[in-house]
This record gives sequence, C-alpha cells and structure tokens, in this order.
Amino acid sequence: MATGIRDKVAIIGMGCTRFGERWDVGGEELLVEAFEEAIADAGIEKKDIQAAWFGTCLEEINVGKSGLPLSTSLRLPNIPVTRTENYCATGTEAFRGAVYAVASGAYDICLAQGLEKLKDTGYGGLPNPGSNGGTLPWQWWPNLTAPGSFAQLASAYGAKYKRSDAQIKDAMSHISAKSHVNGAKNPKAHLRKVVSKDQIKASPIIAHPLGLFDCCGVSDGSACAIVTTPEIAKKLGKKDIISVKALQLALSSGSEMAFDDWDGDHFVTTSICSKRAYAEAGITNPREEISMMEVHDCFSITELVTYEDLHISPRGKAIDDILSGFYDADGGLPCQIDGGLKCFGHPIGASGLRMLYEMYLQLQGKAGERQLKDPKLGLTHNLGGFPFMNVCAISIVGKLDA
Amino acid sequence: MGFCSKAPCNRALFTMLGITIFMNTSMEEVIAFKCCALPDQNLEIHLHNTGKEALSIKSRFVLDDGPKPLTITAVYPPTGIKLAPGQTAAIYTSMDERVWEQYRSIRFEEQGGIFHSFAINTNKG
Repeated sequence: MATGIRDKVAIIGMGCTRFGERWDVGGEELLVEAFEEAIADAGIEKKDIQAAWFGTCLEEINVGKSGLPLSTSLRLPNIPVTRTENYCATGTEAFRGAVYAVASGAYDICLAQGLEKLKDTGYGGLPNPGSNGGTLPWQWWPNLTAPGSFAQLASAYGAKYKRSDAQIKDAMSHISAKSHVNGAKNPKAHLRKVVSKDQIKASPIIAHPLGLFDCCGVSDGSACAIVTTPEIAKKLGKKDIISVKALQLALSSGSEMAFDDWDGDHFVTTSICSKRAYAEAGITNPREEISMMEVHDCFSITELVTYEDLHISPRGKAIDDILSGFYDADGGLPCQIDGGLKCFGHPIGASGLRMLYEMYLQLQGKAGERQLKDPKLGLTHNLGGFPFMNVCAISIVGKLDA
Repeated sequence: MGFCSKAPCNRALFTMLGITIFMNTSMEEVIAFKCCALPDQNLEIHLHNTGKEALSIKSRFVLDDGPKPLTITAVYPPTGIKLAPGQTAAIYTSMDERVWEQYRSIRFEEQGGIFHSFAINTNKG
C-alpha cells in the first residue's frame, strides 16, 4: 500500500540566481551560480551527489537537450543525470525525480536543478515551439495564444459567478499590485518597483480583460535543491530540517477539451491535484493550515481561479478574499511573497524550484525583509499549458517535526 | 482642470478628458521588459474620460508654453486611445526631464480636431 512522500525526504540545500534579462551570463553560468549557493548551503561536497535531475523546457539554443548541459556545466563526476520536461511544471518535475529517487532508497543525496535562458532568443513571450511542439498539440490548439486562452478563462469565470469585468479587473489589479509590493523586497527578483492599482488598471490591454500587468514576462534564471533523507540530514548536523510533505502531479485527460461538463471557468487538474496533496500531507483544512503559497501567476486570472481550485477560497468568492487582503503579505495566507512570476518572470524550467526556494527560506527564517512570522507549511503550484488542457504540479513543504 | 478647443474657432470648452502625469514612472522597466524592447518609457500619462460620451484620443501630444511647441509622436501604444465614459488608459513615452521642465502645458488631440490642454509643471518658477 502506497504511503506517499510525507517526511521521507529533506531539503538540505537550495540555491537561486537573480532572475531577469541575464545578458551578462550564459546558461552554464546560471547553473553554476545557483548550484554554488546550494552546495554551500548543504555543507556537502559535489562528490556526495549521487544523481541529478535537470529541468529545462523550451530553450534549446543556449541549453540544449539531454542531461549533459547540467553534468558538464557543474562538472558532475559521471553520475546519472536525467533531463525532465513537463511544460511549466518542469522545475517541480525535476524536484519530484530527485525526491522520489531518495525516497526509494536508490540514492542518499540527489540534486534537482532547473534552468531556462529565454531572453537571448529574442521573444517577448514564450517562444513558439514550432516543430518541437509535436503534431498532436498543434491539432489541439492551432493559432492559440496564451493570453487569449487565459482571457477566456476570465470571461467564463465572470459569466458563471456573475462578476463584472470591472470587479474582475479590480481583483486582478490587486493581485498584481500585491506581488509587486512583495517583489520590491526581493534582491533576486527582476522587477523591483512598487506599482499602484491605478497604474495596473490603466496599462495596455493584451487580451481583454488581461492587461500588461496581468501577464508575466519570460526570463532567464536557474534554481536548484539538494535532497536527502531526514536521517542523513540529521547526521550532517542539520537543524530545523525542512521536509517534503506532499508532491503531486495531475494532467488533463482531454475531458475538459471535450467540454463534457467543464464550462471553462476553472482548472480541473489543480482542483484534483490539491486534494491529493492535502491528503498526502495530512492537511484537512488548507485555508487554516497552509502558512504561505507560491502559485503559478502566469496570468492574474490564473492566480484568482487557483485560489478556488486549491480549495482555499470558496467557489466564486476568491475576489472577496483578494480584495480583503487575505493573500497579501500581512493577510491570512500570504501568496507570492517573493514577488511571483510577475516580478521574477518565468524561466520555465526554473520557476517551480524558485518557488520552493522561497518556501525554504521562509521556513528557515532566512527571507530577510520578506520574512513571515513563524510559517509552518508552504505550498507551491505550477500550471503548464492552457485552461482546457494542462499539467499541474503541487508541492507542500514544511518543518520536519511540524 | 483643462480646457478644450476646436480649430479653427478655438472655442474654449470644459474638457471631458482628465490626465494624471507620472514622470520617471515605475512602469519604465516593465515596459522595457515585457513589451518587446521599448526602453526608456519614463513618462506615463493616464487619460481619464470624465464625460458621458466616448473619446478617441490620438497617440501623440504637444508641449506648449515653452521655447517652441514640441510635438511628441513616439507614444506607446501607437494606435490611439479609445476611452469609454469613466474609463482610464495610459500612454507612455520617452521624455528628457530637462526638456519637460521647460514647458507649462500639454495638449492632446481628439479625433475630429478637438484639442484638450492641461497645465503642467505649475510648481516650477
């Protein structure tokens, strides 16, 4: 009988580069920058790492296929390195590989690292996958844009819950303003200036009702985690050990796209994935028990709807929670405390691990100016693809003895 | 408070357009990052339609009451601003602060030749 991942694996070191338009370095340097922070944090030597998982999604100009970009950049000593790719959940997928490897007993210490170096490709948004996208997806979403698709989510949500464009825009502006307030305190974020709700509302529309600030940019960056068993972590002298409480993945079956009973207003995968994650972590009341979250705010409407799909806000009520400040840094359940995708941008392969990095810092009391008071459990959420077909990953981490 | 006029009679009217100016806006790096390399968009101006009819404002403006009228045409977004009643939308451009300081009014043009003028830099000597 499967017993899940709860408390079977500890995170002993993490690293994260500054995100942004990193013209100053190549992908290799980004990998090294994040890794050097993590290995120093873990207090181990490179030879102690027995296997690695490398998450990179779209960018094959600066990075390329296989696990070789990681193994060669870090000069890893001929250990197994597996490349993972699962859309925007790629970073968390790499983490999942390393965590499961340790939990299985196959290895003692593993590395998960994500990287994307997108800005050199010249794209303002995500690069077109072209021939690398596969023939099947192109049949499913010909000529589709990400902002256009997520704008439809906003329309469907408004229609279902009788929320006006103005109400949705007001809530989305609050979401983005909140993230920029948080990101202004983060030296590793790309965009570090506070932006007012009025400025956000007045900014150009990308795909109605999504404006410039409702859409995250892409970016360059890398983040990584070194994991082991709690027992080994203790032997290494680690105190206040951070452990993995849940690690779940849910992918669309294709049923939403068939519009069987899905009306386009939420993410089926996130709703299912979060329930599994809470069960795995032993959480019965996520609104009360989760201390902080990093959710996939690729678009502000994604964040809004995700609050409900995570079963934190009641259906149709996320706007009320948002406007009441519940998800603000000083609210009941702070979200995007590091600034989120809005301030970091989205180097796809790295984003999931970047979110975990913030949870790790917060749980250890090392988040500096952004530090929350005594957080116990942190949740991260990635969503790759489109509302009608996507990959959802959720992880929950916390203090080992909590 | 601004006023508007329609050439050629130059008849002064109360304008249904309002503006808010943000010099050295925090938007600058966001526009540079997200909007396909539009750097140095340091001047942000919000256009508010305070009237009961839609307004269509051209993506350009003129600085007046300075050394000589200065027309700014490199404005983002470039396609004009349509404002429903009550709506606010922003335009952005690159502006040398030293040039900006030399002018005392700014003039927007509505489709149809109606001009909307506003005082700026009124706290300067």
